[in-house]
Amino acid sequence: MSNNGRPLSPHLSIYRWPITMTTSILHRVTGIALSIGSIVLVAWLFGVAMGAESYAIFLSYMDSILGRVLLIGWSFAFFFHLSNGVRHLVWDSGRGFEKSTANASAWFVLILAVILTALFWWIRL
Amino acid sequence: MSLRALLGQVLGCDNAKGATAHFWAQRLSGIGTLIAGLWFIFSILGIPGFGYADALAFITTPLNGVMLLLLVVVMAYHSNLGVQVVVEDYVHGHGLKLTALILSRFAHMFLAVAAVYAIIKIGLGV
Repeated sequence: MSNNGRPLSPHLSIYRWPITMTTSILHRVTGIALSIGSIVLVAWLFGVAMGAESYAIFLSYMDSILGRVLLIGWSFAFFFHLSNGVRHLVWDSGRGFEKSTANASAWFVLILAVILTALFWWIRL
Repeated sequence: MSLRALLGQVLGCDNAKGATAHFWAQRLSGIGTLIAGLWFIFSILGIPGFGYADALAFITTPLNGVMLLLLVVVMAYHSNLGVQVVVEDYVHGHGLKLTALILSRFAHMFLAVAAVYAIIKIGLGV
């Protein structure tokens, strides 16, 4: 195999991490996070079903520092997975695969998810 | 048909046709989760608070109960399909993979049934 001094791919020292890779991995990570988060939604419903005292215990967990951090994380996961999910649906129609388009839409869904998360908590709190 | 092929069919990972069905189910349940999820987000933005009385009033409203039922069922289904793909990709070894797939499906079934039970129990006020 002649190489002619050309870099092998992926040439790790000059490899630039593409933003589309971040969104691809984040889609899976947020999906799994939401699967775990759905337990909390069911716990909320169950807490109400079991009565005021049980519900108070549920609320005290969710109102803790850890609970709040998790809720904010899950809200971001929701908005990201939703936005990027729509991006996937557009791809399924055969559109948006151009490298520049894919990069732009990756940044778009990332920023949109951050804005929606901030907006949600700003309205809710 | 061997038992193994049947199990593969049950788990939706048997052949190319199963994969197409999985693909469609994932997209459709994704759209369903998107609609029901957005409804839920807007709803919890609208309720006065998360105290017991507020939560009870929200869930016992009939239309909210129906939407919550749709949300938990379609979400559990979509989550099941998603976790299945992740397990298929990252869990190696036939036995371990199969065990993980079955456990995931049981866990999602449990979650969906538990949620449905809770919503109906609250809705009927017993």
